Amino acid sequence: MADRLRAKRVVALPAVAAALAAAALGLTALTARATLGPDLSWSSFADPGSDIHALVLREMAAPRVVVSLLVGAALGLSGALLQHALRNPLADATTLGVSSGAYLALAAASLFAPDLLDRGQEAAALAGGGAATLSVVALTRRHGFAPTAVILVGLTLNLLLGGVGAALTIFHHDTLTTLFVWQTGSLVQNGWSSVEYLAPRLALCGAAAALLARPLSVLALDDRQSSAVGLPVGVMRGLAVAIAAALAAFSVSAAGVIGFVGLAAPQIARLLGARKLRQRLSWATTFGALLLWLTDQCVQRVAFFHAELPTGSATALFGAPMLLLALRSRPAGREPLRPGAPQPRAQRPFLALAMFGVLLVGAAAAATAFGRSASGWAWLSGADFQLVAPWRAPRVAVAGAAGSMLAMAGLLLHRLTGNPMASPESLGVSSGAALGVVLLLLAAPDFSQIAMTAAAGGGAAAALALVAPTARSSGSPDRLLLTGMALSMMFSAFAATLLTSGDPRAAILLSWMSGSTYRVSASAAQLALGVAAAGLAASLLVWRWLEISPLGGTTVRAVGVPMTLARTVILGLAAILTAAATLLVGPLSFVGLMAPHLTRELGLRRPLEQTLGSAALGGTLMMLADWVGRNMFFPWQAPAGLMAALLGAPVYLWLAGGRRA
Amino acid sequence: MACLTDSALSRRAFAAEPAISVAAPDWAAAESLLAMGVAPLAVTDTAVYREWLPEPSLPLETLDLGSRAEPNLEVLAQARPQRIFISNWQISLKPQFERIAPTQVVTLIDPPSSPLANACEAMRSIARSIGRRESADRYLAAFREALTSFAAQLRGRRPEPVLVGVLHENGRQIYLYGEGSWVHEILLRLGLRNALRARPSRFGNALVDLAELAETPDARLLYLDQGERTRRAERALARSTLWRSLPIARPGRIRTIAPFYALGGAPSAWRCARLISAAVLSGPAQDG
Repeated sequence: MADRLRAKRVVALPAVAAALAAAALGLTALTARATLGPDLSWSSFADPGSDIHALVLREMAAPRVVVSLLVGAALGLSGALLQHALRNPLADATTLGVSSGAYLALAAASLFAPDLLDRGQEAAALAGGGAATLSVVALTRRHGFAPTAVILVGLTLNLLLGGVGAALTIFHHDTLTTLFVWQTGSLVQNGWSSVEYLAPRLALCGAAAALLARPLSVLALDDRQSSAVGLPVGVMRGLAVAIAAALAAFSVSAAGVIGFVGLAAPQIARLLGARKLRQRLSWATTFGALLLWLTDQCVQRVAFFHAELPTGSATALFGAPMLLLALRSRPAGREPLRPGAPQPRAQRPFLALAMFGVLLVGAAAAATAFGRSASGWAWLSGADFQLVAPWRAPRVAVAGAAGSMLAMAGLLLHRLTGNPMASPESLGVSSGAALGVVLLLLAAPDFSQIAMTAAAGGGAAAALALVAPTARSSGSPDRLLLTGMALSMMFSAFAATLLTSGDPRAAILLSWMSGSTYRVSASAAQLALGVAAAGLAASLLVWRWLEISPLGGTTVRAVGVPMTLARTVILGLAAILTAAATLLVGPLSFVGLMAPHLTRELGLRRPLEQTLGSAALGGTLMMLADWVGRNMFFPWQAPAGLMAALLGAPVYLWLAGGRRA
Repeated sequence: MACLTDSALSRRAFAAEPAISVAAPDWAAAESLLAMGVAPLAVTDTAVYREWLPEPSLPLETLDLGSRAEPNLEVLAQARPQRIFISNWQISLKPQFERIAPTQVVTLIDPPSSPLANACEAMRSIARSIGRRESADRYLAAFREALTSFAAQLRGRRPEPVLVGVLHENGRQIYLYGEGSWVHEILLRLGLRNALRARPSRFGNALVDLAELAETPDARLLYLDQGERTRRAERALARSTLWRSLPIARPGRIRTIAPFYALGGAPSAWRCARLISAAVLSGPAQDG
């Protein structure tokens, strides 16, 4: 039986690869025929002369195929190396922030040092990718590269880098499309220069990976065991990660960010039965190349809203559902979580809470009354107060309410799943709501506030419907996160497509997506405060369930609460809070991750204290972010959500790294 | 010549009775107001405005409202305008603006209506609401006259296929203006032909691969000079075999033109017409 299974699997690898290759080859032939006409001949390809069609084939179509193969192979290998070295099935250049690092370095260079790009594009990409990798490594070393810690730091870094990228595009609106070229990953070629650039570098990395394969395979053992074998484990891991990061940086430099391939290719290789490391590396490389080739050929055949979809967006769009399916067919693996060491509980939690409350109220008053105007910094008074306050006060209120809602949602999810990474964005509801708005914008030429609200609500509900069964199935925190990740990948793909379309409304979308409080009205502010208050009341009603739920289903049932009901109620509450907050301040909601953790760090440990503390702290943080955003670049206004991410991410990364495993 | 007419008109208009105080978060409205001799109190993103819409020039004391997507409402409220002009793509912000002053929407891009006709109508409707009907009529008549005289100068040449656009920095693609933009209409009014084959977006532009330029071998390409970005795109193109072998890359077929704002109003369209006709006139004549 086992033999037959193995035999089937050994056949499966080459068979699937051959099928992918055949499909890609067929599509490529179609493309070539469409370019050249039926009199396709090798001689015209070898010597196109002045025949423009033959030139197009040789200078654009052919190098495009080769680049798709090269980049795909690089990403596949990079993902396989990372997944092995970090013992983490979710690791890949995208989830670790390596690609974002490279992209941001390129984007920043194109804005601030354009001359550098002509000579040092590669250096910029390598530096960016390398810095991101080093940050992840440095911050998770203490945790022994625990999978959840690595992904948590990686995703946080992604958020931070994505936030900086968004800030760059908001303040350099006219160069917006240029910046998104790297972010959306385009394989359009013009000559063979990218091939010439990539081939030797990838060959070098490939050779290094091949040399490392044997010593690396020992890493599958426990750290202690492999140390006993006498290998410098840290060095091996470091080298593998460095090679993977270099591969990703070269790919970004040549083609922009192309997600998912590096995550999927090694998974496919493993699912189809590649067991040994050497096998996994070579098959991941193969599948990466074939997947990207096939996707890129599909993209060329299918027009998307009258334009070719950038290949990077397509890999995310096609890839995310595929990944979900693949994971569903696998038994739910539960990564052992390593909770942080218990923090000393605050001596007087209610004194701390009172201080949080004072902070919240003080911040609200100061944020409304103090700020910049056309004539300089000032405390508002008299006539100016009457002119300005009606605009400023609702924004402060909404920021505070949304921050509280996100913090409460984050806390609920965190307690419910026992997963330190659980936050509103990992649930995917923020992305779902945002996706609804993007779809509305693509479908309808004009949109009103009501249509936008409806679209966001619909998107959030759809995301909830997708997430709920995953969350309810027994103990699968990874699946919950993957669902959210898949949703956010699809969302960014759609958003990036719209943002490259040259539509001036893209700027409006971009600032909303980054969490702007600009559009809120006084009635929306009242509603937001109402929802936040109701959410707080509801959270306080379920706090007993929160105290016990991380202990697992049996315990909950033993104390007399039907587990399914408790889970559903908590999940639904978190989803509603997230959807409401997303409508107000966009999907970039770092506060939901940050506030509960900070509250914990500050010594509030019990659910009741944590709920109140998170709500107060979340509100304060978001109001602070909103205030900084409104004043720092005056008269320009940076979105509150974005500022929250920019201010909060480094704090959070520092805390995550400082805490002992 | 157009330049002269333009500033002469502005001077005359400035001498006239001051109109009500207005703010223009929309650039097309702002330049239409300036062309009628009314300086708006506040305009969005004044730095880029001055770069892309240099004539008629924006007074230094104009308040900066920041982003075009999110004009600063606090600044706008403190400026106390009596009327506000926004674009139809900012229409979702109208309720906010209405709380500060009566707000009028300026519509340029609204398929299938003509953007050029919309630009002229926008100027007239702005003029009506600030009591400057005559200034608008005078300006638009001069604009029509200028278009006729540009077309007359170009007559005698075969109706030339022209592409107008912006080079993409990747050196592989190019943004071209097509149907749905007033750039397209200006080309037709000048007696030229727009060689763009691809279907443009709602906003009248299309992102086109270089290879598609091979389909229009006799076209001439005018691209906007946007400084460093354009230089980088030119360097990328110079390295490309495909580009060098395209008929359009032959000497004398490509020219840079000064930047204009393709979503602007009548003054921008006028500027665009002047730039295009001057560029075509200075190029080699085609046999016909």
